[in-house]
Amino acid sequence: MNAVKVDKVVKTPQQGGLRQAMAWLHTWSGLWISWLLFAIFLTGTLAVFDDPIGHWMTPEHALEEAAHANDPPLPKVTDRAHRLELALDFMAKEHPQADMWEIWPVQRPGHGLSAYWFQPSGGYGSADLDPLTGAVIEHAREVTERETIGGHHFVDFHYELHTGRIGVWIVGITTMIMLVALVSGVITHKRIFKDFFTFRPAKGQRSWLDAHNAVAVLTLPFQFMIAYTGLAFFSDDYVPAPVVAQYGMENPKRAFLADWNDAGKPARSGQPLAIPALESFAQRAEQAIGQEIRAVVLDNPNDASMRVCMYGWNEDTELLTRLSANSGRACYALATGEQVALRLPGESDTGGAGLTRSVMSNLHMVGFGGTPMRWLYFFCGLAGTAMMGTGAIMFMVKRRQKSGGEFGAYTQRVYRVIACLNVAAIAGLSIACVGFLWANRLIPVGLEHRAGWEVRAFFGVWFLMLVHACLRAEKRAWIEQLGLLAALCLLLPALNLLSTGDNLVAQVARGDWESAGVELCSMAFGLLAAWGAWKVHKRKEKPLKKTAARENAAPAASLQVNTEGQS
Amino acid sequence: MKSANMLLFSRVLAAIFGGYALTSGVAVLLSAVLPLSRAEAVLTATLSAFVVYTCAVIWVFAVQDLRRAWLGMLLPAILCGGLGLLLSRGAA
Repeated sequence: MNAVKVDKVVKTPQQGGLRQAMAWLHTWSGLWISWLLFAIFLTGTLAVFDDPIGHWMTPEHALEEAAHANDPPLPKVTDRAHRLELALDFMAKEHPQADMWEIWPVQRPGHGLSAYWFQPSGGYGSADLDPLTGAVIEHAREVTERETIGGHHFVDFHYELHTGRIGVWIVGITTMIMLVALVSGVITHKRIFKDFFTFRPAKGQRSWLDAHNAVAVLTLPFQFMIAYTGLAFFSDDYVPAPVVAQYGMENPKRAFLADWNDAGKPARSGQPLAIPALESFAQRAEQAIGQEIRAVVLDNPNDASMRVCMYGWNEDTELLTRLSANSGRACYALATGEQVALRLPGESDTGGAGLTRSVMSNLHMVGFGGTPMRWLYFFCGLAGTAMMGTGAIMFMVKRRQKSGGEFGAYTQRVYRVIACLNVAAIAGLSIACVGFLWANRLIPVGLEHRAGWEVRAFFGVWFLMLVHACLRAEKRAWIEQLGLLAALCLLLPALNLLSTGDNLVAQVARGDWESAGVELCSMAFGLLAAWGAWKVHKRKEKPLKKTAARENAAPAASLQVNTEGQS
Repeated sequence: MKSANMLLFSRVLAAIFGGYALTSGVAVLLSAVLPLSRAEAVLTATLSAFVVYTCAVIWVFAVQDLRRAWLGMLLPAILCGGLGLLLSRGAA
């Protein structure tokens, strides 16, 4: 009733002043994206550790690796000159028409020799070569090894929801709204630091608000950084107007990329020129950039305009002290042997904007700082996830106490849908994530298109949880889904033991902290979910009388409460 | 109540589409006038676009008069975009 009265006095949030307007914007922009954003944040947080998760998901490979753990390290390969020749012979014989040849004469143990090329018909070709003979290696999938996309599932879902370009746009729009929600949230909170030090536990709505504020304020710089750098990856797709304005209507994106990636790429002259031995150029490049050579890219082979570019390896230790992940690069015109371009490690080919984007993408993907930084990102990501979750839940907690009547006659039905989505998006998605790991162990190893079935299992479980959340009463749905989540997380090590025979003790004993870390984290999440289920179970519905009494006593204060509560 | 809803809907449209038009206009102008190479200027414009968009949306919801909100988006969008297109290099 009160809400209606307020509605008559204050027609739009704008007339209630800046903070009221921002509180409205924060509540509603935040609510509609909170479910999807929760999913994007949780999978993004897991994606920080996509390698360890992938390691856990390929147990055959992990166990074989463990069996050879005590072997002496393979010697560094020293016959790079020979390998380069083998790859050039292969390309000259098989793909002479390609105007770009790329060779990876990798000198590190465990790496072989690979060739890549742009096909004249378009597209990118690749072949792995035997480093001793140059023969093409045919990769037959070993039936004993399970086919999986591993932790990369979380990366793919995080930025494109497994739906390609459409997903990139949906994630981009959601992220843009998140930026708006962050800024309006900050404006709403004038007492931002005071609020941070305020926590009133077990007080229903106040506690949810305090928790929401605490995780948001604590990690605010991280949330701004991760949202903005996330948008930067596809900034020229999201805002194509300047690209079209500067490059014309016809295929502007391609022209822009060419300006971008192929700066200084020579035009074909038509005069023939034999390909010289490339090893001496590789050695010159190593001198120039101070890095070992990773890739050799040959433009316009057999033409007088031929250019070779040598790309370096980034060592892990370099990325502890450097934010840009660009490796070094040195290019030579092969007709004269002259060095035509040089990029030192960490620099950009084009300038400040290029360097900015490179640093932004590396900031987003935590390509620097090593393992400690990954853990920091993991916890900040969890805080962000908690920010979405508490925000969505708070919306309902507030309205359970006092309906806002925002949707007229449909209000109760809309609230019911929001409550369903809360359960399915928060508990349901978490179940889908751990369900993905369960699917990895339960789907038969030899199944056709097995990797695809794992992803289908993820979406299938999520959908089932949505159906369940809609069928059950809200409180029951929370308890049951959190209980299921706890069981799946806590039993993950048991599942691994039963399916592969591997267990936590053995993992720790052989120093396999990647596998052990996945299972320990899973158990920690399981305990958290169990605690959550127990808390919901214990929760008593607030006596309605008390709330009503407070409202009657201070009707004038309701606007104030609204402003504070909507943050 | 009905008209309040329509006013709100119009404001949301102003924020989403008006804000995007303004963002694009400013980005076109930036890409045309920044004293950088073409690729660098375009990239700078697209990277800074999200600041413009965020501020535009916040402003649309902060301002009281709805007509001012729409004008505040579209007028500078047309001005910046038009000026940017006039000054653009290379566009065929």
